[in-house]
Amino acid sequence: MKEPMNLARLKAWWLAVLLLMAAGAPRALKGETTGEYDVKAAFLYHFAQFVEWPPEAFHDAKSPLIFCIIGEDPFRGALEESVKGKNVGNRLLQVHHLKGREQIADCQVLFISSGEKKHLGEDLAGAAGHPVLTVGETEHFAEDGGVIGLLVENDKVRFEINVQTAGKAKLKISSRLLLLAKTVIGNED
Amino acid sequence: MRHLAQHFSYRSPGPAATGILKRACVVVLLALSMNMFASAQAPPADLSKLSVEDLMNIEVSSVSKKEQKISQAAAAIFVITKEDISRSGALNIPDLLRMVPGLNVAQINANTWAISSRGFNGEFSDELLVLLDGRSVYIPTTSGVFWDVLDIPLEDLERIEVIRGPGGATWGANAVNGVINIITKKASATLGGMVVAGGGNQTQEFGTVQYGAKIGQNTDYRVFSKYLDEDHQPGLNAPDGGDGWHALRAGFRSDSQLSVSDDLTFTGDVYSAREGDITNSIQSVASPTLQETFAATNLDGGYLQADWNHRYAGGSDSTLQVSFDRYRRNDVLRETRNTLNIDFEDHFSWGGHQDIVWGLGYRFSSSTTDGDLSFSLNPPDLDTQLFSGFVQDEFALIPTRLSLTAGMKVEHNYYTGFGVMPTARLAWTPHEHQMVWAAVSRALETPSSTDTAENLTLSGFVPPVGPPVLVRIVGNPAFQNERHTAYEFGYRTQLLKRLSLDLATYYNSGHQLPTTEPEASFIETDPPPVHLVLPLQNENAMYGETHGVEIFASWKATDRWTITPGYTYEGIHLHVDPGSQDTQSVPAAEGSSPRQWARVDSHLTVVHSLAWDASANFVGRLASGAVPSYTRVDTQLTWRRGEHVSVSIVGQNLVRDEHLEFSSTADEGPSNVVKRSAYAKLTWIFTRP
Repeated sequence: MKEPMNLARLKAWWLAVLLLMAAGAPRALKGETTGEYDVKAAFLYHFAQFVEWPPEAFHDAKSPLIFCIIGEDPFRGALEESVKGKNVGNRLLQVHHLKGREQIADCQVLFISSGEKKHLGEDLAGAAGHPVLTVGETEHFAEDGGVIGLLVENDKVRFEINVQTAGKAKLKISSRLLLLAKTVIGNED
Repeated sequence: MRHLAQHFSYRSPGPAATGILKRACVVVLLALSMNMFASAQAPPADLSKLSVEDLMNIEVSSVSKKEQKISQAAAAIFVITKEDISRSGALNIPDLLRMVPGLNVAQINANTWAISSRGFNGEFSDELLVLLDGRSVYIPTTSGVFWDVLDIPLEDLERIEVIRGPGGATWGANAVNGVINIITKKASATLGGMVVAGGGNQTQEFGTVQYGAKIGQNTDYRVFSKYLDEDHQPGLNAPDGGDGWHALRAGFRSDSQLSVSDDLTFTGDVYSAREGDITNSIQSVASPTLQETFAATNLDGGYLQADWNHRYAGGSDSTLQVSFDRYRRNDVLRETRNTLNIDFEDHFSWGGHQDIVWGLGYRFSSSTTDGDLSFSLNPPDLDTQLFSGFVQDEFALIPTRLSLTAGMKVEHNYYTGFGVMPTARLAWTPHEHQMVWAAVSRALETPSSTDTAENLTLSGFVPPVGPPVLVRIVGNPAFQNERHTAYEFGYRTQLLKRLSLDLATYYNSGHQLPTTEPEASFIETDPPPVHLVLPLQNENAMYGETHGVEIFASWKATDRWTITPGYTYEGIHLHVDPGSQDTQSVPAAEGSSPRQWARVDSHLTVVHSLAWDASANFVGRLASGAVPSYTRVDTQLTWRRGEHVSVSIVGQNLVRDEHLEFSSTADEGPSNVVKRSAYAKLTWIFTRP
């Protein structure tokens, strides 16, 4: 049978090209630079998918999942765009800009920008005891008592996770996210 | 079994299955190629659709971070980022600084620059403080900076922060008109090997070889070596200005994480250089005429620095920095200097609304010199100590809206004893994209060895009757601090998402500025023959004011094209005290910096792998020495292959070949002109993890 032979060869070609493109795609991505906060906004959206909150974090089964920004908003709208119309589980995603620290307890994700460096202690104290995923970008954020610290290394975004703080906040972080983290702090073993 | 079956059908599919597979392949391929196309054209519109792994591969520009930091500082600050550095085409730090509005950068010759901020420029411009990773590279002999031996690899720079205006409250004396803070990359950012090689008609050969790696879990390091061979520039009246030079340098940096809250960094380098210089000087008492002499000068030196940072829970931290620095310059003064520096700094928040930084510092500096008739120091050898302490408190008057920073530094120096430098800064952020700031500060410029101890023979003659006569500037052991009071006001705004504007204005009043005043003549027997000296002594008899405005905008016209225009205007009015007989210092200082300056930079990413950068820089005329205005055009074309290889072709100073940028004053050698130049550069980065 001649035809299947030809098809098999064609398929092999397709696969080879496919592999090449797949290998090429990330490289093409690497060369182009993108706004730091556009990327960080996308990270925040993903973090929400890899974290499990305790039931008491929400009023009821239909309450939205709220991303809060404290201090100056470095995203300039990119976070709203990143979560617009999306769900995590059955929960709609919302973005709130906090005016004061009293509202921290209503947030599920709290982003603390580098502008908050001087108030880091107070911001983290505001989140302590509540099931809030704190994400920051100041140096050593995860060591200083935050849950996930974002950092930029060689122009690429990396993150550190403090599982101890996460445990205190009753958050369960998926092992897949832990595998991708640059550093995991507070692991028992 | 299902798996096996799948494998089997995959290997020899029936005709129908093949068709489906083929169609699926086409769809996936199309999707992938579109994805690739999109990423090459512009970032994907919705990044949240990418996986975390893909997100981790995206290169980000930290422009917004820079803007954010700048938008919070209540000072006229400009940050040269590592992207600015790679896109400038500059091969040395002075050429990089040309892009900063409010800085006066003038090349005197191939190995010497005059750099100042807001007026008072000179080879030993003494009102600008330069720090390398927090360590002052200030030279107590002249209060200036030897820019030639600051030729660290530009690829290792993280950023350069330039603050115009007084930084005295934090950084100490001699930060009268600005601070330049050069910050190198952490060793973790330069893992792997790097080779940079290139050459051209002015910088004839240059190269850097670097390797960075990890030791164990917690330590990163890099070691590098750099070589530079610079051709001479043409003299004003001769084809060879005699200023060619070459330099070899080797250095390292290591960063260790001792514990979760302790970091230890070591940096250091050693260098050896040889550079030519033509001077006009008096060589003999018997025939005291100015003679042009060429000398090749050997320079060598190095430093070692340790920084220990400890962080406390809650965001406060302390840093201890200890450094030792040594240099020898075999020029007319033949100076050897050893300096030990210890600085401690502590930062904490207090009571919710206050952020406090305080520190203590000590410096011991020991210098030996061996000058000659034309220039020497008296005493030739000197050990000096400097003690300092500062405190700065930033408190939020209205949280996130209005904050006040009050600070003060107290220093005790060898010459003038205690000096106090206070500052108060108010920052108002009416809207997250707007900020208004105002500041009033007092700064001191403390005396240098030349101010207090120099013997600089300017000229001489043999009268028809009597002994030879020498005219000499002599140091004044009672030389005073220059005192400056600066009033500043600034405004920053993000007008549109892609357009930001930064404006700074200042009024600076200065007192006890330097002059030279004639003193009673005296007879000197050494060196023979017996001669008469007409001394002009350094005094502090000038006062006056400078004022100006500095505007800078950044416009991201498209995702691939950024245009950054800047303009500065500067006015300076000086006077001498009644009784002063100095007629030179006022016009020399007033005319040392241009009244107007303008610049525009364009950075265009033509296609993904090709970038084109260009800048045009207008610098107004200098009245002192009648240096005409000029426009300098530089351009760079960079081709990049992946992350590992890039090739650049750079043209510098393309419009006006052989233009003068500065004019020598009495105590500085003749200035040369700057020629049109071009070079090519290859950068190869390998085995980067």
